[in-house]
Amino acid sequence: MEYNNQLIPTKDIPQYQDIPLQRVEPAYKKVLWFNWTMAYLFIIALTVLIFIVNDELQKGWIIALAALVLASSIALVIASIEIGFKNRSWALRDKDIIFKKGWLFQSTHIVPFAKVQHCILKTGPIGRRYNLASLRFMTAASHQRDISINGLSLEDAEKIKEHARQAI
Amino acid sequence: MQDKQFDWYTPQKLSPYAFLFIIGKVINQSWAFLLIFIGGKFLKKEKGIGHLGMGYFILIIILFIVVASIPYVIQYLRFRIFIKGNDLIVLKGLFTKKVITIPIHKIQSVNAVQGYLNRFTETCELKIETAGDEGTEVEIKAIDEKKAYALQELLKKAPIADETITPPEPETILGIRFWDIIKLSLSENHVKTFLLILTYLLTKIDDIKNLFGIDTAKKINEEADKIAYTTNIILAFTLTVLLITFIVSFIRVLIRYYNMKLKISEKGFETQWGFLQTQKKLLIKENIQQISWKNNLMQRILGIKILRFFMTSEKSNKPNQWIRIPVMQERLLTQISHIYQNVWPSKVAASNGIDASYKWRNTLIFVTPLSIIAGIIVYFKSPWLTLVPLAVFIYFAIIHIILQYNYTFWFHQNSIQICKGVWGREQTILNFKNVQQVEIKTSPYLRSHNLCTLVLHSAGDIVKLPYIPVAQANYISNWCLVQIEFEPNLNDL
Repeated sequence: MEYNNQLIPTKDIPQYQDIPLQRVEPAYKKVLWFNWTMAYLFIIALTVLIFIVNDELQKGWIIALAALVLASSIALVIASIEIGFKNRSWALRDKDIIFKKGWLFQSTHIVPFAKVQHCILKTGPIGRRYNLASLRFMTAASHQRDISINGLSLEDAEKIKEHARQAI
Repeated sequence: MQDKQFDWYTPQKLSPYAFLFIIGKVINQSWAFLLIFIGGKFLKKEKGIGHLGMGYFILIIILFIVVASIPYVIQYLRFRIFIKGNDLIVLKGLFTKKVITIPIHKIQSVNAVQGYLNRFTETCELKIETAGDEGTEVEIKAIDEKKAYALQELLKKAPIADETITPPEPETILGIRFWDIIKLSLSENHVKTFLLILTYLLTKIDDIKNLFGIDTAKKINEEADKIAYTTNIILAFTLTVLLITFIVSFIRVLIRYYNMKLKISEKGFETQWGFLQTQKKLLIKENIQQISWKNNLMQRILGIKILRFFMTSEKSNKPNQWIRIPVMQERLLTQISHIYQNVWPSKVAASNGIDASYKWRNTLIFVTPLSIIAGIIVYFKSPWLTLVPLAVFIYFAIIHIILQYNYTFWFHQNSIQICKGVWGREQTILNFKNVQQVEIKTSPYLRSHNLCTLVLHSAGDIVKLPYIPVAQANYISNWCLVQIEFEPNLNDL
């Protein structure tokens, strides 16, 4: 058997952590606010309906507990939108794309274009109002771990898609 | 790549017959609702409280189908498919507009399926797949038959990413003998087998109750109350349960590994196994994404390792599709793994561990709150019962200490190797060229201690390095990306 243990050079390797990241479009925060408001209006309406229909739930402490749970989750969502938004950023390199997100639990994804099978550009009805788009990069990674970058301007999304298309 | 009959470079629509499929789909999706509605209508009629005439009734059903079809009709009108340069472009969407761009050389398969309705309407169902998803990337329900075949031919002419390779006369390197089957049966997870038997028996008890109206559970309890429990009876009962469990384990092993053979060639492996029906699988080495071998405590004692190949397009949620091979000798393991990685990082590189905080953080975050809640609940039943959550807490605390102690990883210029486990061991080797994407995760605690969790996603599975220094994670990530992006002839997938 042939053994080898070459020295890995460090100084010439491109460092992903030194790349300055670009924040997503500020207008995307409005989309997030709209989506979460709609979701919570639905949840609150459903909760109220359940409490009206079920007499057994109409007790002071149960109502207080439900209100506390709802208020806490709303507070978490507000914090994640306001604080987490600052961390939603991306950077395009020649051979890969970097995407960072999260508030308490942060994650940075690096997707090499060489591994991208195809990419999808999506524009939603609310996003279109603000000229926003999202890009989804499909790789062969197991457990359907595809990367979606939301809150890009339509022009940026088109440019990244074109760059990715040529690099694939 | 220009086709004579159809210009696939201009956007193509679906066949008008697609409307038939839309109505079929709506009826298929809402038949239960319609059945309830129709049933309700006739029941009301029988009771004499129906007030709508048959005309209105049919009109409501038609209206329902029309309204439910609207989203599909919009999708139909918006759907376009065409070729632009070297890409296949699909435009679709209802409220959200989707532009799917698939490089033609990444297309793994193009299937044209003709059902009865398709044959009648001279259309085809076209399925286009890449390695990028567990499902089908593009599924076109009804496209004109000639257009579909033209597109299929057009895409076939482009080089397909994954060609089938015929292996040249492979050599048998592994064969499972009867004694190996016995050893494997002994080392099976008997707790799992026992639980499987128990679940089976419980469903049967329910079946008997449903079929004959006999309360079998009650009968068993009555009969069990009559038995005078002596030490001999308890011992005999335990031995019988153990024997039954072993027999069932033996049958499971026999079905899984009987007559298993592994042949090796330059192109990869050929496996064959099966008791009642023989199965054969060809493993092309380019499609092997990562390998792992593991054993439980009994298998460690008996020197058995279960080797698994993680293949491209293997369904991670279908264990019956996984390729698992029992290896009885270390020499064979080296020989088999050689085709994926000829130098194990553990043989040549220095070992690394994970941070010591991993052991108590997991216990603190997950086990402690659950143990406290369980302790409070059972305390009101009997204070003595709080010993159970306490024992569970101690058990998991010890487990996490051992897990952190055993977690070791090595890496060299091509590959990373991980060894982990509590009572048994699991080793994984992942070549950097097979990594699909890199992920670095942090939490407030990890950030404050300059630690992070590195996740390497491959097409087979994920490799996770928890609680490692940020500098080390960055180093591995950057090196891994260099291997993927700058090394020639490595980017097969």
